[in-house]
Amino acid sequence: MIFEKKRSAKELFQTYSGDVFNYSLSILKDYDDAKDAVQEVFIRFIKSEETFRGECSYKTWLLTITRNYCYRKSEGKSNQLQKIDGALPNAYEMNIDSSISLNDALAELSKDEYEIFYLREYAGYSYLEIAEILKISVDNVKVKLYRVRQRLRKYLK
Amino acid sequence: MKHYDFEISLFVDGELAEEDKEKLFAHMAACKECRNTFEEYLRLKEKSKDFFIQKMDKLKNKDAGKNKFYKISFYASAAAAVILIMLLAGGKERTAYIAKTEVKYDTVYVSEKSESAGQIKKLPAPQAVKKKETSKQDEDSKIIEYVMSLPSEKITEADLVKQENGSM
Repeated sequence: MIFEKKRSAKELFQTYSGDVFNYSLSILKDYDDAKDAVQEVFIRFIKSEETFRGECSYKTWLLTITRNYCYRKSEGKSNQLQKIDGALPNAYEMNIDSSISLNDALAELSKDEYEIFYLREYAGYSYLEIAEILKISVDNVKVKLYRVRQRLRKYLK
Repeated sequence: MKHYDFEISLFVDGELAEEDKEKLFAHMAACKECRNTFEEYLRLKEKSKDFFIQKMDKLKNKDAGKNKFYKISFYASAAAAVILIMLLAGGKERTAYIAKTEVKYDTVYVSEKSESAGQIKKLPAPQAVKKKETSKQDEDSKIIEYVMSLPSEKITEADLVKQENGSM
């Protein structure tokens, strides 16, 4: 039993550690932190494997653990960062319709928008997977992605 | 007229239901604005992907700075290994070549001393070489002379044998 559990965790690690790492990196924005996160996520996965009831795929479950872990970890960090970032949006609003490039606009996305756009455009997950990871409905995913696109299309040149 | 921006957003993600696709296509055929939206969404998709790829690469390469020394030393040792292999391979070939010329000279030295040394006649075909006692110096000068007199740039073993026999 223990052997089986270990093996399946190993298989999952081989298949999904890249996804977990990339997702962690997109949230934590630090290479070392993201590497730690991968280890931590799989440790948590092994510990809590018995509670997995197959309601979603292993992949989305792993990514949910990743998300929970990374957001908790970045909480302390973001509290510090928000003070610095607070000054930025105003500066952007002043020249909002001048020459902001699409990349600037993408960098300025809110945390939620950035995350959903990352999951769709970089990680290439389906709407269902995104919905499971973010714990929202598929319809909500559709609407959110649509809104982000509507906003960003202005910055296309 | 109702526009289909929302459906287009789903369509570019490959998440639009089959039955809705027909409706969308029919509409887009008639609506220039929606065709424009479609084109914009596709471009946005492409550019966003590039943005994320760049950003993620940057984050991943941050670490490379820390381990740069190891990476450089890895590439350096790899390059050194390649050069070493090439040198070894080159060296081998050269040795083989030297061995060949040695063989040539062996053949040359098995020759006969001619009384009319210096006068060179060519024979139509090489004959069996007889061995005679001869001073090495004489022989060398003879060969050099003959070689110098050859019109072609390429000197073959057969030429040398010819020369030796020709002065018989």
